[in-house]
Amino acid sequence: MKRAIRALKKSGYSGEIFYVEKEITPVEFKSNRLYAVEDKVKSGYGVRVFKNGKMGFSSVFGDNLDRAVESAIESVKLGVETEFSLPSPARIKGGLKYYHEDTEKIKVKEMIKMGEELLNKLGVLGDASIDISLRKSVKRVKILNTEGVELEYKKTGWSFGAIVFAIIADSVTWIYDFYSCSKFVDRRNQIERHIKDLYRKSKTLAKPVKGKKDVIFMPSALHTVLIPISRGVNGENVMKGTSPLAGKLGKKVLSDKISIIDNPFKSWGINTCPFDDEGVPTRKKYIFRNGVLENYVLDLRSAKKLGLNPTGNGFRSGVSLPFPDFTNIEIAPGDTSIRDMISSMKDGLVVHSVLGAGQSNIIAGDFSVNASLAFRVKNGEVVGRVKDTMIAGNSYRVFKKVKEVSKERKNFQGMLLPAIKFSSINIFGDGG
Amino acid sequence: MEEIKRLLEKASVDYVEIHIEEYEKSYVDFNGKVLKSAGKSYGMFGNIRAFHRGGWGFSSFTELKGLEKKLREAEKMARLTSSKKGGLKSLKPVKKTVRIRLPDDPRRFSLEEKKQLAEKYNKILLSNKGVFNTVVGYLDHFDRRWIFNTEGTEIMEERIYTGVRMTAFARDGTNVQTAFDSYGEQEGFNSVTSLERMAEDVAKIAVDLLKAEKVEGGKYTVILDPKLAGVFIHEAFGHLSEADFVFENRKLFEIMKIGKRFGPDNLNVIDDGKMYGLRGSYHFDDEGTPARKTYLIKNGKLTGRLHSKETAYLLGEEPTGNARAIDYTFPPIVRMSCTYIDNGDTPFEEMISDIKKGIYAVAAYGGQTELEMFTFSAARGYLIENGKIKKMLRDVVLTGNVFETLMNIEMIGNDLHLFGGLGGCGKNGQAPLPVSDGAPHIRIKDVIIGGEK
Repeated sequence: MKRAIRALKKSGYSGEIFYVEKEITPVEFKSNRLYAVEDKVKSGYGVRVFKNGKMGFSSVFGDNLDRAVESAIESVKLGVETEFSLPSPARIKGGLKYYHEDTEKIKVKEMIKMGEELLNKLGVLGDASIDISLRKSVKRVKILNTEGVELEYKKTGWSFGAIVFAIIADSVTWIYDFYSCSKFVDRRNQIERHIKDLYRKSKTLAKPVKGKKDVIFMPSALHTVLIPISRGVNGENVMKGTSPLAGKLGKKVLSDKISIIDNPFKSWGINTCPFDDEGVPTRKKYIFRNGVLENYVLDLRSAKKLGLNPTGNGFRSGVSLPFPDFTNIEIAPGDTSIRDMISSMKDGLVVHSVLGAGQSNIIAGDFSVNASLAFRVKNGEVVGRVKDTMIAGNSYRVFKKVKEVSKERKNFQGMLLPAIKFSSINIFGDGG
Repeated sequence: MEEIKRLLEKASVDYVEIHIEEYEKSYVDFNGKVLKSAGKSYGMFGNIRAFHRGGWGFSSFTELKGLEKKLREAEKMARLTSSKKGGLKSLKPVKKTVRIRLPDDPRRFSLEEKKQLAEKYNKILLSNKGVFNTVVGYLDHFDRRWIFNTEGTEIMEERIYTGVRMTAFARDGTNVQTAFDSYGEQEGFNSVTSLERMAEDVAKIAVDLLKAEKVEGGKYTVILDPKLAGVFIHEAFGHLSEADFVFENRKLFEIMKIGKRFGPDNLNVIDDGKMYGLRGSYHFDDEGTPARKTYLIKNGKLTGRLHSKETAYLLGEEPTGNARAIDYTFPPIVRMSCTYIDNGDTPFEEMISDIKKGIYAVAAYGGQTELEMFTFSAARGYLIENGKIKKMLRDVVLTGNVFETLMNIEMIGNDLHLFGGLGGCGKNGQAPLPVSDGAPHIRIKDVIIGGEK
C-alpha cells in the first residue's frame, strides 16, 4: 500500500487507499437444531485518487490493488467534481475498547455449546420453532493517504440472538431478541427471560383498537420512528436538500425529552472505533440535545458541501465509497420506569415489533407499519395482544409529542434505547 | 481450475462443492446536477462448502491460496454440525459452459458513453421545474461463475446485468415527495438507451405526489397494478414456497399442503428460471441444477415449491434449480427466479367498472413479510369512485394475511408483465439477489390500508 501511495504522489495525484479484511464466524441453529457453521473471510481495497478537483474511484475484492489503482486513475477523467480534501494526520483518541482478544479466540465448539444451552432453555415453549444465531467477527482496517495519514485498527464483534416462531392463541407469533457488541458477553439469561415473558403475554388476545391513542414503542420497535429521523440527520440527505432537517441546526425540532447521541467511544460498542473509514478521528456528540438539533452525521464530502466540520462518520459498505453513517446510536434515558409508563396509560398500545418499518416515505418522516407484536393497555393494565393492527404517522410530528421516556435502556442490535411513549398516534385495527 | 478438480479428489466427507466467481462492474451515479461517482470495480470470490450427514460447513475467501486448508476447515465444520438427519438429492453430473454472446455487450462501451447516457436521463428529470433533486444511476455487472462438486459437475456460466435507475425529488415547503423507476435485465447496452419516457414519468409523478392526499385508513376493494401485484406474489406468497422455510416451520408445513386450495380457479403462480434475458433467469443454479419452470399454484391449488438439493431430499421431492447465492462469499440457499401470476382474462376496464369506492395501488416502495402477515407500500395510489379513477393518493400501505388475501382475489387481468430492475430480493442477509416478478392487474376485496387519517 505504501508503494502505491508513493507512486500516486510521484505522478501528481493525491489519493487514498482503504483496506478492509473481515472474518466472520457464524454458528446458526435453525428450527431447534444446529444447522451450519461458517467461516467467511473477505478482503479488498477501495482507492480514491484526485487531480485538479476531479475524483476517480475503484474497488476490488481480492489481492489486486494495482488493478484498482489503475482503474481509479482511469476514471478521474470522467470528471467527478470534488471540493473536499483528504485529511492530514490528526490526534486519535486512545484507550478505546473495541478489540477483545478472548472474543477473537472463542472456539466454535464453545459457541455451539452456548447456543445449545439457550435452545434447551427455550425448548420448553411448546411446539415453538427456534432459530439461534451466534456470530463473532474480526475486522482489520487500514487507511493510507498522500497527506501522510497511516492508520490501522483491529476490532472484534460479537452478536447473539434468538427468534422464536410459534402459533399462540391461533396467531402466528414471532418473538426475538438480539444484542451486539464488540466483546463476548453472556446474555443468555436475559434473552431467555425476555422471550419467555413475551411468549406468556401473547397467549391472551385483546379486542381490536382503532383511533388516536397513546403508543409505547419498546426498544425493539423504536426503529419504526427512528429510521426517518436518522435519515433526516444524514449529511447526504441534508446536502441534497431532501431532508426536512436541512437548515435546522440549532433549532428545536423534537420534544425536549429527546436526546440522541452518536457515541463511537462507547466501551465495547459494536461500532466503536478510533477513526472513520476516511481517516477522520471519530467523536462523541449529541445529534439532538433536549430536542435541539446540534449535529448532522457527516463524511468529508457532505461536511465540505455544507460548510461544516466532518464529524468522523464517513463509513463504507465493504470497499465502497464512503457515506455518512452513525456509529453507536444512544437515546438518553428518561426518569419513568416502563412499569409506570404502562400503569399511567388509559388506553393504548405497547409495541414490541413491527412489520414494514422504513418502507414509507421516510424522507418526509412518514411511517405506516403493522404492529406484529403489540399489546393493548386499558386503565393501566395490559389486557392482551392485538392482531392485524396498522400504526401510522409522521416521525417528526410524533417526536414532538413525547409523553415519557423510560429510565431503563436496552442494547438492541447494538443501539442503546429506552422505551418511549408518544401521544395520539393513529391506529387501525381490523374489526375495531 | 485443474488444481480445484484435484482438490475435490481429496475430499473426505459426503459431498463437497467448490465455487469460484469473477466479476466486473461499471457504474455511473448522478446526484442532482453533480456527477457523484463513476468507475469500475472488480473482484473474485470463492468458497468451499462441505456436507456431512446433515451438517454443513462453509469457508469463503477472496484469495485463491491455502485452499486445501480451507477444505479441511469446511469439512471439520460439517462434521461438527452433522446429525443423523438429512441428506442431498444427488444429480447427474453436468459439464457445461455458458458464455454470453451479445453484440452490444456493455463491456464494449466506454465509461464516457455510460456517463452520457445517465446524464441524458438526469437532464430529463431536472428539466421538470418541480424537481429539485435527482438520483440517476447506470450499472452493468458481468459475472462468471464456476461450480465444481464431488459428483463430477463442472459448470462455467457467464451472466451480464445492465440497468438504469432514476429517482426524482419534488418539494413544496416541508412536503418532500419522491418517485422512482428502474429498468434492468440480462441484456446489452442498447436495452437502456431509450428510456426517455420513463424519465419523464418519474419526474411528473414526484411532482404530482406533492398534491396527492394521504389515504384514509380502512378496508377497501383494491386493484394492484402488475408491478405491485408482482411484488405481492413474490414477497407474500413466493417466500412461503421456498422449501427450506416450509421444512423449518412445522406450522407452515401443515398449511402448505400440496393440493390444498389457495385461491380462485383462475389463479396460477409460476416460478421460471428459464426466462432467459430476464433479470431473475439463469441456466444453472449455484448447486449446478438446471433452471426449470415450476407451478407453485395451478388452478387455485398448491402444486409445487422451490427446492435445493437438500430440501428436495428432506421433503422427498425433486430439486427445482432454485439454490442461489448472491455472490460466492455466501452459500446457496433456496431462492426464487422469475416469479409471476399468470394471465387471467379480465380486461382492466371491466375490473374497475363496478367498484363504488376502492383504491388503485400502483408500483411499490417496499414490503415486508412475517410468514403469513405482510405489509406493502404502494409508490402511489388512486381513489376509485363509481368505476372511475379519481384523485391521486399517497402513503398507501396495504397489510393483511396472505392466505385470506389470495382467497379474496376477485379478478385477474390479461396484461401480464414481468419486471427486473437493479434491486433484488433479500433473505438471510443475502441481498440483493437478481430476481424478476410480475403479474397482470389483479383485483382483491377487503384489503386493510393503514393511514394517518
